[in-house]
Amino acid sequence: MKLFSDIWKILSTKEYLGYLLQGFGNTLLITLIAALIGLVLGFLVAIIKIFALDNKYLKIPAFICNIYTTVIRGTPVALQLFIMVFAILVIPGFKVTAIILTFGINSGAYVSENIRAGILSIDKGQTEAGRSLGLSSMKTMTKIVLPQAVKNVIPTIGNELIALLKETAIVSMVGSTVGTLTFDLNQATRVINKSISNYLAPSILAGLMYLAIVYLITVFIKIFERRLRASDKH
Amino acid sequence: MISIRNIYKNFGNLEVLKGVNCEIKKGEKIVIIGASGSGKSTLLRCMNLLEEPTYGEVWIDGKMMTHVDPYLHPELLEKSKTFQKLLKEQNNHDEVINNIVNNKLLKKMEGKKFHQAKKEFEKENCIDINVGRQKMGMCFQHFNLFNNLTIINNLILAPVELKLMTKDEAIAKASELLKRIGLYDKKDEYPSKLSGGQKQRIAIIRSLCMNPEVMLFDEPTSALDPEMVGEVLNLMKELANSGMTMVVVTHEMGFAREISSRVIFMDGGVIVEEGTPQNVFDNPQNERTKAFLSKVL
Ligand SMILES: Nc1ncnc2c1ncn2[C@@H]1O[C@H](COP(=O)(O)OP(=O)(O)OP(=O)(O)O)[C@@H](O)[C@H]1O
Ligand SMILES: [Mg+2]
Repeated sequence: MKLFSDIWKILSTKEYLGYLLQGFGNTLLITLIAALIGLVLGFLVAIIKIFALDNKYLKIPAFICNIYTTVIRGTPVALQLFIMVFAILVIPGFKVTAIILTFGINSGAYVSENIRAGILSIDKGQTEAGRSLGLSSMKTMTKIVLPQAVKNVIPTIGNELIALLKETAIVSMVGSTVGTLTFDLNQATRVINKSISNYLAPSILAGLMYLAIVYLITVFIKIFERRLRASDKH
Repeated sequence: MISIRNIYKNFGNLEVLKGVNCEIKKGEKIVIIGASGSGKSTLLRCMNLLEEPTYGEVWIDGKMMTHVDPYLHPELLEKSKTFQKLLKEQNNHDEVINNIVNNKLLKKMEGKKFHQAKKEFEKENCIDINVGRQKMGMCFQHFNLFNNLTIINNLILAPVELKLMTKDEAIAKASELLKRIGLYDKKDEYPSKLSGGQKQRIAIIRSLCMNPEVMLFDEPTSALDPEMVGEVLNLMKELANSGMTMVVVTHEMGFAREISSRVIFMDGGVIVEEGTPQNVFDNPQNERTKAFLSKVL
């Protein structure tokens, strides 16, 4: 019963509810910006790796991209966050940048593999037909291969977005302050816990908020997928 | 029109083509036959550089699509360091050249003079690979229509993207071809809605929309249900009668005999025998040709 009264207390106290909402907003914002960075980075890396298969000038960039994806996917994101915040971008006022960059760079590595797999899943004959008509590799990619790859890539990118959203819960590990972007949903539960001495109540509320947004993303992607499929009925 | 000069193609350690030479003149209908694995597809794909030859050159209309192969040009070899060195030892110009060519003695670095001459030669004779490919239509065993585009967009994509025609011109041309093969009513369908025979005929006219000078076919009917082979072969016969230069890899011997002006028999990565269909089919000279034909005819 104490649990319910505590939950009620949080919801009816402006200060506590404000923490939760602020944290929720920040979690979304960090995720959104990081996801955009990840998408751009991932796309670039995937394209470089694919084109490097038959372009010798891209061998070295592709090698660097391979190191990037191997290292990022082979180490914990928490470690990457520490290194970024306490070793690379140790400039006062740049903590938020460092955090967002970490998640963006991390996400980019996974997204690039998703996009690469999506592109490679398209029959080689499609590329060969495009090239044999005299289209450049770039045109073939943008007009023929990518439009077909998108369908395969969207669901995996959606999963990646959900994973990213949940992963951002570790920002509090590098210290967070109320009022800045570092104050995420997870941190909000801790602050509330300090005041009401009940960890479970704010956690349940935060959990519901995570769950709601994850569910929303899932639904959104399903709709998007269905649209894509309907638009080129095959 | 197309000149294939001493083409070698290795896949790793596997030597698939071992020195193929072939001149294709305007209007010729060439049929390439041979056992599975003899390198027919690879040769065809080397012609439009879907595979890059390991050695040798491909020329179209007097322009080179591949890189220069120095082993085909003694005047280039003369500029190499290896030549200069060997000349001091052997002192016979022709012997040294032969030695270099036969044993492939060129190294990565052959001196400034050699590389400059090579570059100059390429500058003078090379055309952009995409420009060369525009002159050669290619039809594949599995059609390879663009799955994300409707039939009409399949047909006009390349000519419009390459700015060879305006969209209206391309649509007019595509519509005319579609009407000719009786598939105009399918123009807004996606490829998945078509039968194999229809897909292959669309693939053929997709190439024709580019106004190619030569059409390459790699077993265009071998992925089709038997009842659909005829419609595709008929379109190809029509094309042949219209004067199109064609190179066809096929197992359809009757068709080969009917349309070809020259039959090439390949085995083990080389051209073993070539000649008119009468000569090759009815009076083969080589034992390997005889063995192959006795199996397929
Ligand atoms: N991309 C590739 N990588 C490695 N080996 C290849 C490749 N393409 C072809 N080969 C090999 O080269 C040889 C010749 O292949 P090719 O496809 O040219 O034969 P083909 O005469 O067209 O045979 P088929 O009648 O079966 O089509 C085969 O042994 C094949 O396995
Ligand atoms: Mg073949």
